[in-house]
Amino acid sequence: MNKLYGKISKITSHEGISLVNIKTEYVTLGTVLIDTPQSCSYLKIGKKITVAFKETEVAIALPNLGTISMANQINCKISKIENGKVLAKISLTCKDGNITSIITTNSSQRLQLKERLEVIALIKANEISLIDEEN
Amino acid sequence: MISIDIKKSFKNANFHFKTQIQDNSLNAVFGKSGSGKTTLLRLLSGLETPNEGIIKVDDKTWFDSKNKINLPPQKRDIGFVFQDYALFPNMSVIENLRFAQPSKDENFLAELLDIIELTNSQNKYPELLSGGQKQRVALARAVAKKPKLLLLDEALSALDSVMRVQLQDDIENIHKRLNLTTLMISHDIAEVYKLASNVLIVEDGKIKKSGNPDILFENSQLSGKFKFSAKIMKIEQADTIFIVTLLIQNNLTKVVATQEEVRTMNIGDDVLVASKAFNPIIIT
Amino acid sequence: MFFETMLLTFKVALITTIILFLIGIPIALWISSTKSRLKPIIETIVSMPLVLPPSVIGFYLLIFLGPSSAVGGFVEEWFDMRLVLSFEGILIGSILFSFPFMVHPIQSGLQSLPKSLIEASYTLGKSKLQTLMHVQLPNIKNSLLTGIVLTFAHTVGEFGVVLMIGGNIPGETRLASIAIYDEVEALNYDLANQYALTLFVISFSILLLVYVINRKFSGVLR
Repeated sequence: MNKLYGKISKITSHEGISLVNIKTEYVTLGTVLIDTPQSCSYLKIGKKITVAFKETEVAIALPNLGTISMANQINCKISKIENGKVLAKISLTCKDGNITSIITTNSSQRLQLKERLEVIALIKANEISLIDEEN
Repeated sequence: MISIDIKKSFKNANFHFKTQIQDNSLNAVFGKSGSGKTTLLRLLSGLETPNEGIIKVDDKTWFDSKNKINLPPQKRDIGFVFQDYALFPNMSVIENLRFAQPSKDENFLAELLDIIELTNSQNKYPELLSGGQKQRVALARAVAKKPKLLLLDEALSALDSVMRVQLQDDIENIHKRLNLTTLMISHDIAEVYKLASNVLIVEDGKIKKSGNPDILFENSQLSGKFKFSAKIMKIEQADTIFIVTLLIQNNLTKVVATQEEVRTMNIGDDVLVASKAFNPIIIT
Repeated sequence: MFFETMLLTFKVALITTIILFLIGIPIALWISSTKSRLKPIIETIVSMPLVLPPSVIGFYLLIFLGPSSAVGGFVEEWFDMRLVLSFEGILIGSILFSFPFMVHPIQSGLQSLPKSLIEASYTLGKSKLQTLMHVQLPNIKNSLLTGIVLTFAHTVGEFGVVLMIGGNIPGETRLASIAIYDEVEALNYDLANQYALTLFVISFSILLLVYVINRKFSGVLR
């Protein structure tokens, strides 16, 4: 599980669903939750929160990618690549910390990923969970 | 309305219950074993005496340590259903019910027997009844004097699922029919969702929270809505990742994890499996 | 003489049993439900007759109930009743000596009842007395019967206490067990045998009856 740390900066709720923005030190990430500040006590502006997402949900794009729906984009540098027969484990370093991405080895080769290459990590908003570690 | 603010200490446990219960509400008391659920019911019923505090039911005071008021269980307007049924072995079904009535009301007894479907077995003695039938008699007996407050102490935990559903329906029927205020201890989230209008979450001897059954989802640390307790059965490497086999209730499932995650896992560990509510696919 | 002695024996046993039944129930109830620190002391006193030689109890009763003692003197003066070497005397001796035989079975019967039965009765609005009469006692019939029979049989067979406090007054304090001893001393083996055989047959019949009834109680029908 990838973890980044930040503070809740914005909450937009409607009919039980909320879009929550979390500001880490260097980027702002968005997540969609089936919760509202009324049903969930830690949904408060300024609350320290852990952003968690699974390695398999992290997509990788080369810089200068065109328009794309995924708003969660983090600039990273590849620190290590382990290519398996099917899956490749890509270790990434960004300003906020380390992220791991698991993509197919095919894709890893198609993009010609190699260590120290600058890439963009992409995460869909509905794949991000929030963890209240103060509680 | 029932207002409670009571403290009780035992050798190695302290309880402080503070809450208000609306008239005619069906309340589920939810919490881990040892959290104090049964103690709450026993304090309310007068079977256990608080060290201090106050219990008020409407304008009647049942307990008030300052004014030295402590109504015995006999004088509190309650029905109590015990986990072990507590039917009197020397009395038949109908005699058990009759014993509970301060003044005879055979019509009401006939109606109760009809609700619990034991009209034909009313002359049987408890030891000839099945577990479910015993519990239905215990329920009927507890309400035979038409109490204001019905307390059920894990009344359904010993029953199989078919009997359980039947008892749940009985409880709902009787609760509505008699305009009772009901408190029932339950471990079963499905049961709580089905029956309760209000949930009291008991934790470490306190009522941590109360509200409608949706609060059961709240304040868990993780925002994932798709969430189960599981036991780790197997951890194996596959390609560059690991596959963790989990037992969720009676089903085995597999979840992908990375080497870093696997390092902190052990076979047999109890864990929480969570996913965003957006991912699971429902197949009907 | 034989019939008079047998009659007296059973009269003492019957009255002892009735009195002990009435005072044994509240005492057993208290012991089985109390959290008092006095409990071990009371339990010890109740059980003393099991371990003390009967002659010890008889001896102290003789001292404490004799006409020159405070208790004995008071009773004699106010009620014109002598507590030693009399029927009343052996009655008191028998009651004290058979105490554990009544209290113990009832106590263990009460303790074996699930606590929830009593609590259920309370929550149904029943008083402690109603609970005792309608819930507790009817569900320990076996124990009550055991207590009654053990007390009765034990009183019939008692020798030491009765001899000490009652002496051996024919028709007043001479009970069957003492009569046997007497007749043997006088080499009247036939009469001794008559007493002995009668006691044996009666005791056997009573115990047999208890076991038969107990079997019925513990069956389905109550």
